[in-house]
Amino acid sequence: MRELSIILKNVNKIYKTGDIETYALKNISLEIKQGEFLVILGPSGSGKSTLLNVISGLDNPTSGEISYNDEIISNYDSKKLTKFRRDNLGFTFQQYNLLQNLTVRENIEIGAAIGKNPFSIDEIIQKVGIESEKDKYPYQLSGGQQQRVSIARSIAKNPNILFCDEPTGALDEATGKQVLDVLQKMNKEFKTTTVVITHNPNIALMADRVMKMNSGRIEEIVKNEFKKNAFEINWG
Amino acid sequence: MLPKSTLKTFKNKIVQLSAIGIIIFLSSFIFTTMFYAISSLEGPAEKFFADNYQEDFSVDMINGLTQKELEYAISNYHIKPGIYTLTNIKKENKDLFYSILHNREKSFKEKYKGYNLELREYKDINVNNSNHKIKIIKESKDINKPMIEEGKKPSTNNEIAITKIYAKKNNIKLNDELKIKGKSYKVVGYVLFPDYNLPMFSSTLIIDNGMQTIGLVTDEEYENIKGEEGFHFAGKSKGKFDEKNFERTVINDVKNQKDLDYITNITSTKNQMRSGAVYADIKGGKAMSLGLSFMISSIAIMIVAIIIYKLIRSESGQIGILKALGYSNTEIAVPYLILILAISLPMLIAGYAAGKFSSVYVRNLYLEFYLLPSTNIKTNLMVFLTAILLPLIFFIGLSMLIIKKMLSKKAVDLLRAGEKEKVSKLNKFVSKIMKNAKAVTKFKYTFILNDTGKFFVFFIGIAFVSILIMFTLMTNGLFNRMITDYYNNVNYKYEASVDITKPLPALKNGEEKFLVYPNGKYKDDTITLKGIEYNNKLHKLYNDKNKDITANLKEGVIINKSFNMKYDKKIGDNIKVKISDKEYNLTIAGICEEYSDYKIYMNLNELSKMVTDNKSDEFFNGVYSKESLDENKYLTVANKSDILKQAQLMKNFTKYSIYLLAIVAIVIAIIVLYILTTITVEEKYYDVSLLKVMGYSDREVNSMILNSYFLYSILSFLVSVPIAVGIMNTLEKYLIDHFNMVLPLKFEIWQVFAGVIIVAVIFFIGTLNAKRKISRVPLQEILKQYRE
Repeated sequence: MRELSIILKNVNKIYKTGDIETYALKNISLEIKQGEFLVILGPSGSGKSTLLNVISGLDNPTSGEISYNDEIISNYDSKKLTKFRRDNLGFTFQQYNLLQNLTVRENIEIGAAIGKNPFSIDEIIQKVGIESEKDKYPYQLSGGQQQRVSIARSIAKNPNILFCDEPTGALDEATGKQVLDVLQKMNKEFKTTTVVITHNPNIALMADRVMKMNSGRIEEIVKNEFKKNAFEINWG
Repeated sequence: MLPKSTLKTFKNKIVQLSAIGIIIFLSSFIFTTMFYAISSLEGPAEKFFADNYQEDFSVDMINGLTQKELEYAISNYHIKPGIYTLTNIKKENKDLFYSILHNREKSFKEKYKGYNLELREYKDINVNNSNHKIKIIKESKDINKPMIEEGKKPSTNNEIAITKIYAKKNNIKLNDELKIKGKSYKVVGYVLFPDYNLPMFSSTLIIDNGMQTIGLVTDEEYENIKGEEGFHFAGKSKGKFDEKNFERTVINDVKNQKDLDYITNITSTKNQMRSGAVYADIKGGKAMSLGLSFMISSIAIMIVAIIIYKLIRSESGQIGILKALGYSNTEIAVPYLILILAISLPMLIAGYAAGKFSSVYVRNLYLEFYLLPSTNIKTNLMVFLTAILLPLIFFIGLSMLIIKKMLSKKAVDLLRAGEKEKVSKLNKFVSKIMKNAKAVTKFKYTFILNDTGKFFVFFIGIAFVSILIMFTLMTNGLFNRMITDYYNNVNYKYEASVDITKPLPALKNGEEKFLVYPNGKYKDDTITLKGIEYNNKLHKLYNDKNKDITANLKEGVIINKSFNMKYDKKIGDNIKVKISDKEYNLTIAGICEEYSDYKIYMNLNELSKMVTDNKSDEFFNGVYSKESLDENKYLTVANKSDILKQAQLMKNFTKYSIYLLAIVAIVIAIIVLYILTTITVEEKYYDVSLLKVMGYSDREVNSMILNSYFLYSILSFLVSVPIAVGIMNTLEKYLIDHFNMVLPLKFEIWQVFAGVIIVAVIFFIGTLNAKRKISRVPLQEILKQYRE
């Protein structure tokens, strides 16, 4: 069992425009537990993406502390942060960002190539349900299939945490649910801590915990007593 | 509003567009420079040749007498039987000399009625107390008449006309004095001869018009002056000269004519270096400038096309909105076209202006070597149009085509454009070849192939540049091989020709004799036979591995490299060589690394027997020495260091032209790589961001995005190597076939390694900006900005 916790203590992110200071994140304190499925919910401009940036080491906070397994990462330089992401994190975005000149299998290999203990590519392909598409190029896939490849690519290196930023933002209901199902499955089977950012409150029903954000602050953190699976939720 | 937004887009591409501007400038500059320089020579040269009756061909002949001529001389002029050269007959008996020459001329004219001949007489002389040389040419009456550029023709025996460039370089003004062989001459004019527009005084390509000149004196003074005399016939067609007909009916026929057996060679002017090289240079110069400009323009046009295509494609969403708002295609297209015009037109005009300015210097450079009348460079509408309008039409036309194609799409399609990128056949093909490679490796080496157009421009651009680089490398040491290596290898410092009308001189200690026979025949071509002693100390022969092979003369003859290259003869081959009417079977025992003339070295004794018809094995007509030789004792004395000094100008000229070519090639390659790699990074912006987010380091991302350019640059270079070698072989063959001249370009394996290093350096410099761009791609980009 992997031991993991990400702890954020009084994290602030301030953007300066001339003399004006804008708080993108204000006094965020949070602990993400190992194997947890966390949904961060909030409207546009609430600071969700900024939070994801700082948790995942894509950006440094202006103040506060972020630690990963007792190691403070908020002071890391870009080289150390790259290594941290390489060893621990996986990412899925609204846009699939597949490498267009590689096949499905090869795209997943690109993700697995930098993992310390990667999963078998074939196993991942089978888990996300794209066996028949494995030799196709991205342009030959539907949006849902592409997003599944994107998830497979992030999960292939066996990351400790998977960050998903609006993973269903560009998908219709049926495909969106399929993709969420894949995420849920990965979380369950591989115990990968999964952080999903969304503005769709229905997705929150799938989470272990839901963190609601507004104006850069945490409004509330709610624990889901009765988790739903992807196909049980309403879409919009 | 619309032009403003387009201007903003272009501003973001300012460095790329400036780089293209440099290529556009170069294409217009090279074309204008060369065309103006060449056309300023071409017109006046053609007029000069026509007005002064330039020969259509020249007839070389044996300097000895044929059997028939000897019998004629014995019966009519009562000379004793023996060996005679035309030179010594002229000295002893002028009537006999002119009678023989008249008979030769008559027999030719009788056989080939459509042509006239006129005797050309000239003497090579050393100018007093200097290493300068003068070729005094006797004035002709009908063919190759001299042209006085300035001043007047010499009318008294102490007057002389020389070349203007020699006078200028030696600060000699009209009415100044020039001392030749102890006598002072007043320089009364500047002269040009149409058959010596490239003043080659020997078979080596040593031309330094500051150290050698052509001279004209009165006929009487010509006969008085002492020097090594030579003769040939100049020929002219009575009607319009038809090169092909002449070759068929005269050149190919003459070998079958027994009455014309005094002829060793007939060369039409276009194939004669001293008079016809200028034609080839003009033709070649035009072809080269046009070819280079065309190639450079094509690269520029293709890159511009790619950039415009990428620009418009990246703005297809914006264009789609504009179309949806009701803007017409023309309204959208015009700002793009205006901006393309704004970049290309000034660069083309700047290239034209700079080209016209520098054409004066290039023309002057030509006039350093060619003795031709100079004129001012006048503006030529055709050059202006070709240098500016033609490329401009291409730039605008191609841009219009691309824009029109993009705008022909519906607004909705434009808004959706760029969602899916298809995979090219080439990408799929290479991917199949790399079946077992890792995905990272596959990505590295296949993504560049996805944009076939861009890959084509890159590959062709680098191949073109690589050919130029290979050519530069192959010319390395060219001039040394042609001239200086030979002189540096021999141990003698002075070389004298013996006046054979007088008793042979007694040699001092350390002096060595040699025998040169320039009228040998091999396969109907005139070749030089040179006799030296196999154990001599002053003129050793070396092979291409720098091994002394002089002793091989005991086993057979040693041919020089030019002979080997022209006739493809190897060690052990037998060759049949004719001296006068007799044929000799010789075995090749070695090939020496020497490129001047087509030469066969033999043992002095053997050649002496052949030349004297077995009467003497001790005959010689030249002397080598380490110590200076008495000029009064010999006909001419040449100093090796003077020859090397004369070669310096040619050497520098070759060296600097090659450096210039290499610099242009490298600049183009850097620009091509710079533009294409920065475009790639811009295109792969999100991929780069994604890879960095995933945890790939900057170094790994650099390698994934840029290393393919390196591999394909090297591949393109390697493809260009056989092409460059092929061009080199064709060029060598062309020069041998048409000018009987060997240009020893040399392909060696180190050049490939050097080329790879140069390409690697070009790659390093050309991709610096792309690397910088990659390191600046922000990680959040992938989260913040989504592709439309």
